[in-house]
Amino acid sequence: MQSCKLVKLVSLSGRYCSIYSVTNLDSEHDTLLDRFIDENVNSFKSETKELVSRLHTIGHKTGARLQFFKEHEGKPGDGVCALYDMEVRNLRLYCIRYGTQLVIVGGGGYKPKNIRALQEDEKLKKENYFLRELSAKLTERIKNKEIWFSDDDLDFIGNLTFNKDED
Amino acid sequence: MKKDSISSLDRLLQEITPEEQEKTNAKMLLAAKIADAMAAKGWNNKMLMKAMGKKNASEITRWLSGTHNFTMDTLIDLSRVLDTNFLNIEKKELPVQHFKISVVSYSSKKWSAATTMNEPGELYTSFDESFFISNNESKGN
Repeated sequence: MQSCKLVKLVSLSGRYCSIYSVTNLDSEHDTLLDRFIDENVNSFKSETKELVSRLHTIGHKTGARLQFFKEHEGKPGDGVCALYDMEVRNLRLYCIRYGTQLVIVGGGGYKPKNIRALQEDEKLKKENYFLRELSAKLTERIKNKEIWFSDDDLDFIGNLTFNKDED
Repeated sequence: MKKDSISSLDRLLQEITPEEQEKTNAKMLLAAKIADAMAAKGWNNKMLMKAMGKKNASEITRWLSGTHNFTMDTLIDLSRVLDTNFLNIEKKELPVQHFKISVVSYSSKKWSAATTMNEPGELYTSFDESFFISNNESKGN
């Protein structure tokens, strides 16, 4: 896994849920969500806007209720899921969900209609497997008490930087 | 890293109008209200599917995803089967306003007065000579 850091997206986070993304320390993009926007905003403008708008609603109005996400996009119990866009659902935005109060937004992309499993598309597979790996490392740090949750469960506290090739 | 410029996220957020955000909020809050009503009845997606006469459970998943544009017919049916009002179209009863009026002077010339408050509840008051006569008479008694 490349060196990266969890960062809170203040403009999307609210009293119901904190939205985090991942800064890839080797990339020119600010966060994985910024990169997702850059990659899709020209071809799927309304869908991309809808996804960001939905994240804003999750942060400020509803919290990350399970019903808004497509579950089981990762390994059992790792919290990796996908956020729906509009009903036509061209895009997949992969996330890790921790209850209704914390979401880590990763990358994603266009899911062609002719594939069923994300593994059939290299781009989706790469984005999804990165979050699976991040989820595993995060779980390990939570177990080791290097990362913990704030009293109101709205923040990660501790060492949020992950170095390349660390165990 | 584009540290000095506005992020792509913030740029896109600026493009989302308050009206667009309001629509997203409404759709997701409605979906949440439907899920809460289902939970109150102990229903899962399949039970709602049957109650609504649907044959595909994925339709219920779509309703609950907060992306769906509901028709009025569907909302009426959902309100009925889930015993919850998802429309809120009932006419709101105006609150009763109690106030006292003191008569400081009286003229036998016929006149009337009206006041309107442009506030929620819209208080409209009118009175004419007969009011003062009866009020005066009751005072005299």
